[in-house]
Amino acid sequence: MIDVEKALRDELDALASATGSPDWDEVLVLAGRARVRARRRRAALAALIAATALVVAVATPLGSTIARGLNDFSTWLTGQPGSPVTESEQRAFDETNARSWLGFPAGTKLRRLIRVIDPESGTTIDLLGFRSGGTLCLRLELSGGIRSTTTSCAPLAELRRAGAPARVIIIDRGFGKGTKRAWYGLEQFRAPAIKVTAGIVADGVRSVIVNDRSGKHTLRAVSDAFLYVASNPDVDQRVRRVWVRIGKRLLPVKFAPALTFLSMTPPTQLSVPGPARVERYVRGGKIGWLERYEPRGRSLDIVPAGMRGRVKRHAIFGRVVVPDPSRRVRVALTLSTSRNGGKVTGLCSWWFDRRGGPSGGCAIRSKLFYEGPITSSFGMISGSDQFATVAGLASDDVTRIVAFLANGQRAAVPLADNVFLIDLPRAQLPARLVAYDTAGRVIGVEPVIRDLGGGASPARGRARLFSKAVSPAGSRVELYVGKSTTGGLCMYVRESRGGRPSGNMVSCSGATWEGPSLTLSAYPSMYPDPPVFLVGRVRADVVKVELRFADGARTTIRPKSGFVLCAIAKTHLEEGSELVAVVGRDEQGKPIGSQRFKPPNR
Amino acid sequence: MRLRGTHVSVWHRGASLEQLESLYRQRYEHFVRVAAAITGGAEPGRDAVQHAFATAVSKRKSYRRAGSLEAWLWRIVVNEARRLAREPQLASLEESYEPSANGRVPDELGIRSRIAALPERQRETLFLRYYADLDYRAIAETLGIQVGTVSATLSAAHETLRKLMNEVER
Repeated sequence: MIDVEKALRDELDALASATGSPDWDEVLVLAGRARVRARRRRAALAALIAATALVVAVATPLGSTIARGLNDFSTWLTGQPGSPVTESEQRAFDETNARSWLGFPAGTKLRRLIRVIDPESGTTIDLLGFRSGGTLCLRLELSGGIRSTTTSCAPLAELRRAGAPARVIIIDRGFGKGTKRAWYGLEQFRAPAIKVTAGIVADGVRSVIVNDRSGKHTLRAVSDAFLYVASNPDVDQRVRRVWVRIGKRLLPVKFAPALTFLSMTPPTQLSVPGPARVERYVRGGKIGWLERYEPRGRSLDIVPAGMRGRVKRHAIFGRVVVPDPSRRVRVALTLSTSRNGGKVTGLCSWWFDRRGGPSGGCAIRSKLFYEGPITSSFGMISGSDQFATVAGLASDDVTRIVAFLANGQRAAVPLADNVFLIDLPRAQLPARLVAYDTAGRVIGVEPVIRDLGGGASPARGRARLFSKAVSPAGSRVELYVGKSTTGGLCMYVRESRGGRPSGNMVSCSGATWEGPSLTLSAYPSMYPDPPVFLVGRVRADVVKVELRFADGARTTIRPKSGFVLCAIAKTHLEEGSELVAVVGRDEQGKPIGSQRFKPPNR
Repeated sequence: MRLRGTHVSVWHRGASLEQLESLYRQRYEHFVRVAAAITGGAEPGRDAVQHAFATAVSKRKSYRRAGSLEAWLWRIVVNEARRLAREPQLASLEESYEPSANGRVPDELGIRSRIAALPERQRETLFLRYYADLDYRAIAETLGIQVGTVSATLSAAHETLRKLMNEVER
């Protein structure tokens, strides 16, 4: 017989993970109280700007039979939002576009969506939009006080898949030089004159609410888009939350916060779905068409002259291929010899995107797929802050590649001529790429792709000098300490030679200690220099650190509040007597951790 | 005559924002579970709780202390969840997720579908009892029924589920 009460409680446990986290601020917004607060904040200049947004056109011609709904981007996917730009604006775009070999397809039509004027900087911000193949692009054109143009694109496939009521495409993009400054550790940063956040909304959305340090700002959704301009923002002013209002309801919009100069990778708690184990091991794969000198794609001669030399260097054969026709990315694959000529030993891949190029390099042909049938790299080349691009090469063994995202969604990765490329939404990382063979077996699992930002990083405020040391040769290291954004501390190590700073190293931690009991570094750590300084942090229970040298000598130092900084004595800067290891000991002298510093191999 | 500088015991009507926020934070997970069970999804459930508390904030002065504040809030949450359950739902990101069984066979005994088939009052009583851990008196206050009715309703729901599940087991 079944215990009904137990079965019900089990069911409760199954639902327990789906509750999310409380958001009292949102409750107050819904209750209308935040608006009262916002009015009290005179500093909310940006709200004023948003409220005075000049609506250029709201016509949304939609030549589509797809039903309009709250959950889709029909106007974006099948129609044309906003209104056409003027003929001269379109002509200027066409001319610029035609000059680039990575241009948008001819006939791409710009649409005007929203215009906002920032009185403080005297800048007019135009938000334009257009579709280009499989991507949807937002273009910011700034004129007046600040002049700039930038384009950010998002993959339509992802928009179709996600089906959310709004998508942020541009987040906190800074323009111009503002007046506000702030210290973070050892550096002072200056805020931009304006920060722009923009995105698209589904057809039924009437307004968007964004929340940043200056308060909550309600923006009208115009031409199926929204635009938020923060005027003279603070250095660390960033959009933290976004909602859309549909009728009386507010729905939160998922997005990835802007990456900052101080963004560090957080330890992620999210698990990644999808297969993690290989079902058939494939090693030593090849790119057959390249090996057979098949003339796929285009000739290397289409690479602009300024970049062609690098691509053709030592190449005996190569072609330019397009991994995803909807993306402005081209890849030159070449077979190359060593610099001395001889056999074909190298396989090079050169990537070109809107930023120019080429990026990439060469690998030993026989070792390229030595560990698995795909190789990948991770970067931000879509132009949108919301998408991270994963791209790479796949051997002939790979039939398809699937990206598994943290939210359970999966996406087919465009793969052509052994080159793949996909834009993954940062808000849905971590993700994993999985390669399959013709039989549907897993033959490759790439390392988990994690987003940047959100980890412990320097908090606002200047770091203070904690300790300093001078080497026998006169170089100097200073250790500064400041607060971290997660309640812990950041350690800054500044090295200077001949009175001039030669570099800073920053490491931050959370409120609780994680990892090994000793996190010490030897400076410099690179051959041929022997370690001259020992610097770093130790866990609170480490009260003594024993330094061990190659000649058997030992010396002990005491950490100060968990920090260590010492210069190595001159007698231990010679070959055979250098620092090789450290041992951490507790109050009773018991060893509780150690670290080895490999002596230079001379 | 006006009293100054003396402590006067005053009958305060209504609830303070601090009280509401405190209960919201303490019991958020329970509120969302129940609302999710009534609306049929975590996202609309969360939505119902947010809107219910927004209503509570707006109408906090109308709370008359006839019952506990928590029961008053539960009543608003349940009503909001019922209202949302009747509305056609917006598609959301959540609905496009592929459910992960995570090693567990989903709804092995068909319990979710059995609960869904129960009459509304029985379902809500079950949710409040097992998802919110409310006692009979609190359930009665929330649903506006007698304590005895709560007991009878739960008993009937148990009996129905037991029969259905034993059939499955056989």
